[in-house]
Amino acid sequence: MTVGQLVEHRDDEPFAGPLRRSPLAKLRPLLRSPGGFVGASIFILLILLAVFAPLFAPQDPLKQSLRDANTPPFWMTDGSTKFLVGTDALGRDILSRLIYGSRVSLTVAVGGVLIAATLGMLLGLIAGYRGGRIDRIIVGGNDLLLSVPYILLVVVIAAVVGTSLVNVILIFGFTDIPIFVRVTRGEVLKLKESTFVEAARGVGVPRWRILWSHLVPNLVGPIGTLATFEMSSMILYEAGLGFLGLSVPPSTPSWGNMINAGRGALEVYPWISIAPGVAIVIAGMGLNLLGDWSRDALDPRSRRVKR
Amino acid sequence: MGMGMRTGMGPTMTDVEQNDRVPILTVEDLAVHFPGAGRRSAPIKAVDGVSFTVAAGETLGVVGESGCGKSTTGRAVLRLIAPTRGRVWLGDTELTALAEEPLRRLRPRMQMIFQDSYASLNPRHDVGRIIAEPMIVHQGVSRRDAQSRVLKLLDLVGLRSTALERFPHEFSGGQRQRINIARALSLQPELIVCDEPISALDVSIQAQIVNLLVELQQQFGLAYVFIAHDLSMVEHIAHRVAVMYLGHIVESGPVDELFARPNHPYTRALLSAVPIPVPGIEATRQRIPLVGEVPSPQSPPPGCAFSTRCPDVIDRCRIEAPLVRTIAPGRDVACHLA
Amino acid sequence: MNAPLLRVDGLQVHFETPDATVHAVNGVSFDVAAGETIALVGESGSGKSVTMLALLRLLAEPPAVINGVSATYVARSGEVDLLDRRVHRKHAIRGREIGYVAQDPQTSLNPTVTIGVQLTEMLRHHLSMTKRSARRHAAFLLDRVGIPDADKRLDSYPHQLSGGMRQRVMIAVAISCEPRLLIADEPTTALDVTVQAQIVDLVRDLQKEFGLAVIWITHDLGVVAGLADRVAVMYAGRLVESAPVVGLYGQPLHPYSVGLLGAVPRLGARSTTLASIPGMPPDLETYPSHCAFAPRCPHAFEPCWAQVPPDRSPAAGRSVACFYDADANGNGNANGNGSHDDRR
Repeated sequence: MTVGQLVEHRDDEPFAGPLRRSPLAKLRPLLRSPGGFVGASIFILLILLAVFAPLFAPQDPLKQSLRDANTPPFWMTDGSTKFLVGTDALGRDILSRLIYGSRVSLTVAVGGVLIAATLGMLLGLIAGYRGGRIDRIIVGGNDLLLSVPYILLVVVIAAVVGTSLVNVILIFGFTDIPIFVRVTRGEVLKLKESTFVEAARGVGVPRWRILWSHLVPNLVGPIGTLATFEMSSMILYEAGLGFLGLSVPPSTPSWGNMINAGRGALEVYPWISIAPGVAIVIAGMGLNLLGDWSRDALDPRSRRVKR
Repeated sequence: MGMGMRTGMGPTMTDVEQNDRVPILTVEDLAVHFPGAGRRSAPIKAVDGVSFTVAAGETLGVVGESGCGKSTTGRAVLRLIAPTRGRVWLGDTELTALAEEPLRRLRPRMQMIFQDSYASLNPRHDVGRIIAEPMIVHQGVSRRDAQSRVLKLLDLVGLRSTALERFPHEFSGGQRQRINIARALSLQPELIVCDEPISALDVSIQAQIVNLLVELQQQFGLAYVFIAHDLSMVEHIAHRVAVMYLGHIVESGPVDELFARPNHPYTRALLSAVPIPVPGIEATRQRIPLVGEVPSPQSPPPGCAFSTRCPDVIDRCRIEAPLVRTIAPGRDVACHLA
Repeated sequence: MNAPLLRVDGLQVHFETPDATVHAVNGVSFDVAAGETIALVGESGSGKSVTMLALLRLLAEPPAVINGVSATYVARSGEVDLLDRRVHRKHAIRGREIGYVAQDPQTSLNPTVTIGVQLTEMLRHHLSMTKRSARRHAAFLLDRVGIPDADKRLDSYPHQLSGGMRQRVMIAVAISCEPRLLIADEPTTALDVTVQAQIVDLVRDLQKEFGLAVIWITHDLGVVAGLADRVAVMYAGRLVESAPVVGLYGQPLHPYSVGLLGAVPRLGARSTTLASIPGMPPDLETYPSHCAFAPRCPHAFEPCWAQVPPDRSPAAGRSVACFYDADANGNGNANGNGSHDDRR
């Protein structure tokens, strides 16, 4: 007679519902949360626009036409459906430039966060897990990096090697490392003391595997959420740089330099600056909504289970 | 060593000693001191010199109230916490003398089950992976190869095979504890330290899990160190028991003997406080009241740790700490009056 | 004995959440006489805490929805219905009429305020005492609940006290305005056994001295044996059995009570295996249309699956909600320790 045949302690509890592991199931909570849905939609739209810009943009963003300069958007008087959001001082279609501008914003946001998150997570992991001297060194270095104002760095580097998208991405990536280090380190310190890590040690799981198998998967949630918020910030920062003329060269459409371009004519032709401004707000808000939703969604414990 | 061990008389250590086997666990003068907060504060002496043995296939209950150091002892025995002093042997291997890697490789022989059944499971791993992990780590098998053994373990602990792909949060407390037990068993350990494994469970589920643990012990000859504060449950499952107070073992012996004829004043007070689910008895019981509070492990009283609250205290107790003496085969007490 | 101090009739509480409706309490009725101690026993999910919180109107509504026929309480000013929301404020039910002690002494006391203030706050609000007399009375209360150095302790903060002391303070707060009913929700579950014994003895003394009625919620059958006059057993939101304490322990009628008593080890009376109840409590999202215990019951038969068993009264002062009649089947159960379930 095996132990399992004894009725007394057998567990007869039916499990919570059918096993719903299909990828579609993961999307369900997204559809249910209005904020998450909107945020995700905006993000996806942004990606599509950036990747398929040539398909979406009605005009060539670089094509100048002095004859069509300063045309208002189509819903205002003197507007035309040829230039749905109007044109700028050089007659370039604003809508098309907005769409192409998303490429800059997205590339900076994604590229920058990728660099910051990867390096930041690595450093935070080492600092939190090893502790001691290494921890103090990394934290010290982190605080040092934190005190570097990115604008100063951009200005200096621009003066030396000139402005470019790659420079912006690299600079953003590096100056954003500190917060990823800090958050990762905090999470690791917390996770290190958790009972399941202790249990893993008890089982005899080697250190590297605890790090890789137990700690990192539980970092995905908080870091992922942080990443969306940082992406939102970077879009804003890039716009700021573009406004100062320190981002991509003015011919390449970027939301920031578009605002700058329309600055002088705000009273007469406001749409030239407002349109990219609106784009920035929507993109930033979308990512923030996504970040808020992901904070709850990525926490495995808060998943409600129908029992 | 089967059902015969659970007769009313209760087994004694001598049954096992006569087999002349090395005890599966030997602990000698174990102490765990934590640094106090702040640079100059006194250390917190959570465990301050405990010694005991556990024979193969038997259960040692470790009881005491909060702050007595029983949980810390359990962890220190497995070297999940570093002991401040003392030596521990698993069989005839000295654990405290091992380097990190050989210790790690030895872990399959000695496992632990924690009180919080949820916190001891990685929320991002499914059950199959959790139970297979020891096998993956120590035997280099892949998860797929381990699957049939995982299924057998699930059956052994009374869970259905559909549990395999589910995550910890989908289970109840009792079920999760079964998962923990399955994981602990996966490499056929000789010793399992159970740190209050059922305290957080409902009464009827407690009974299920305790029955399971007993069955597994009988089937596999497991030794348990069963740490708990519920004396009635300890009496049910343990062969021998050690009573702890402020980091010391004040009394130990065969469970029936000790509970029927306690020698140490603390044991007597503890037993008098345990509620007995019989109205006629419980409502009219005379308790042995304990005055005062448990002293802080940072500033234990000079002399006997229990001297500040002992109803039978004499002057000598306050000056001189009593050593553990064997007053009968298998019966140890640390008291001047015993 | 005239009318009972508290008579609850058909109490129902359900919680409306976006995912589902949780039926926590499904028609609970019981009486508490003045000076009597009732133990409300059940495991997690039984609804015992929710029942009390509903009577005290301490649940957030929504998501809680409280219904029932009535919950008549004999207050100082006359009979009131606790199910009527207005009653609570008008008659100062909480604190003045009914004292409440919660489970976790850590979180029930405000950590930023001294315990003296927490006590005097009650006294000044309900009894309109002056600051000085409130303080004097507070010291007296602390002393009465067994806290040494009462006067100095008034200026301590909760974190400076141990768990047992904090619970004593909670009790002092609860009885400070001389309520007639004390509701204690698992007050000793988080405490060590020696401290638990002291608290139980304390409540027993206070009860005798002040003539308090006590509803003591617990899952610890040992504590119940020493404290209660009557026991009410809850399962899945219903009261499945109620009986005088000796009667319940001597001859439990409901199979759940039998299982529960059998699952508890008794010091000094070891058995081979504990009679465990197989399976798990039901989920409360479906409103019960049959006996909630049937899936786990060794005696379940047809009627159990067809409808919810009504209460029946097999003896004076006893009631059980079950179709199975132990006596009729000649299977009376004594204190069920160590008995195997009848299925085998």
